[in-house]
Amino acid sequence: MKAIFFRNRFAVMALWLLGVLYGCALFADFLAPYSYKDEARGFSYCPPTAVHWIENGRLRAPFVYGTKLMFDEFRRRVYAEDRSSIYPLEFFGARVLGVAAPGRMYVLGADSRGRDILSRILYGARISLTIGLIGVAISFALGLIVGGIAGYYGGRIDNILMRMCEVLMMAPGFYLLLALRAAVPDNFNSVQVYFSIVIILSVIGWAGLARVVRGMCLSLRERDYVLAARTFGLSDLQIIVRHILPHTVAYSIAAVMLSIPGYILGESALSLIGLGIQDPYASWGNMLSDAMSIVRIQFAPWILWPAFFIFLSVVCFNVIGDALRDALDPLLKRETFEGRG
Amino acid sequence: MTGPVQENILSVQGLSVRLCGENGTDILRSVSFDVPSGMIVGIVGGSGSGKTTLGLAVTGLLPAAMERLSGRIIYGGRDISGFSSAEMRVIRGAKIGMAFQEPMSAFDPVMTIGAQIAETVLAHEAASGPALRERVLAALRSSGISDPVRVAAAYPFELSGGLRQRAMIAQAIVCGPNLLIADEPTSSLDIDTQGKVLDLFKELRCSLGLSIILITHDLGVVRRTADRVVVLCRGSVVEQGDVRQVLTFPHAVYTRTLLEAEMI
Repeated sequence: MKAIFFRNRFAVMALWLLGVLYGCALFADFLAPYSYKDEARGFSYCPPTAVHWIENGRLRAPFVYGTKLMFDEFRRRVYAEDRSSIYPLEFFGARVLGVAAPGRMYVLGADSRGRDILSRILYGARISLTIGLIGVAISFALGLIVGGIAGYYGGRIDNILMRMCEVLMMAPGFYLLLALRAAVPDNFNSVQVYFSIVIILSVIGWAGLARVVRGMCLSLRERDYVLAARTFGLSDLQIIVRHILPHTVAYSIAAVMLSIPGYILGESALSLIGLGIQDPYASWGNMLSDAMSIVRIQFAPWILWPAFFIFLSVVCFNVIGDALRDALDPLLKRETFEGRG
Repeated sequence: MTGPVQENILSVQGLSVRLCGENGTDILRSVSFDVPSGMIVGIVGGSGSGKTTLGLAVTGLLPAAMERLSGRIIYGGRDISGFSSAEMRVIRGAKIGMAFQEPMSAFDPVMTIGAQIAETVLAHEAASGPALRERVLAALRSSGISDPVRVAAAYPFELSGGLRQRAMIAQAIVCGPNLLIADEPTSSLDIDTQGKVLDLFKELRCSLGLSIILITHDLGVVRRTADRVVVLCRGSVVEQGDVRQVLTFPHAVYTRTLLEAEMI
């Protein structure tokens, strides 16, 4: 099983990439050059800063020049290097990378308030990448419990629970998301907003898993060992948790991995339209809300960087999910690809 | 028979079961029999005679598609047929153990044998650590397994059919029940292993004071092991009594048919 997973090179690569991304999120306080709320109004949409090694033909420690704000003939902001001031880079101070004050350095450019995009991406990863994990944990638990109960008992209980799932699945996801978000008080602080978004996303996400788990439980409960467990006096709950649900893991682990991107995208979508994480806190979605105007993208294309990271993490989770599904259910693959011959 | 009057550990009286639905067929028709304490009672019948249903009805585990129409099931002096599922759960496993035909499918394939036996203990009493482990190993040992440590750590697929059946019996007796219902316990085993498992039943009856209901289609098994026999035909008891009596001088036509079939 492990061997099949690790034979998939893309999956291994994706695993490494995700590891790096989560590592960055964890150590954002150290890795990010600035704080996520470190504003510099004079540097609005400042392009990525060039790092120089050579001054007047002589090699020296890396440094950046100061930045001059000018306006072009259309009265648009243009930044130029101010060769008169030199700010050396500082390594491994309070942060891994910094620059001597009052100089500023933007590795990936600045946003509208002159905040460093790279720093905000690193801090934003904390929200964007964890929301998927926590959300999936909640909806996974809900889906397993509801699916397990519906499948094991069958009959009326099954009917009620499954109709509930269908009502949830019937509503178009994004509008349901908006409706639920609208039901949340608007005076919440950022932590409360974060958790309300997690809960909203998982409330929407559990129904699909519950339905599949229920189908599997319907067949699993007919197994002899379930009857045997009953003759030994185990309670229904013990039977569901110990003898039925463990047999659905192969499916559910892969399903969980494949559903994480949905949470990342859901959070991004909410934050993009301003209903998610609020400024000054960074999430990849709310950073992108800056990029909703085509003029701004044309003028400062680097504000699209968060989209790249969303793309990267979503692809990674999908690749890992696919590989897990193949590894956990080798029969499935054989039937679909080789068994046809 | 001489000696003191034997008390019945189980007494089934007029048990009728049928499939739910408008024209549901009768599966058991007013079945009555007794299991005297310390005896092995064989229940014989062909396919579809309702012998497995009988076993399930006694433990209150009839499938949802079947319903008990009438009858009393008196166990230890109490009528357990009206017990709630919570009350039955206390009896199942602890007082009445059950062993199945296919030990391969009766064990959960993703758990070790030891863990599953321990689970049965934990369903009925609080135990943990070394005491629990010792209980499990003791049960395995008393069902004739010579290396209980290895068997306890094994997954069901790692054991031979005979060992699995013994492990199954160990799980059934781990809580010290006084009645064991064995549903076709030897049908999936070869002749040699069959004999050993049947000897184990006789042994357990003596060492643990178990009464055993042995459900089987095989008259040879009954002749070899049981003290009494109940012959079921299409849900009705056609004949019952002492094994030698019934199998040597059968009264019912069906019993004769079974005996003749055995000759072939």
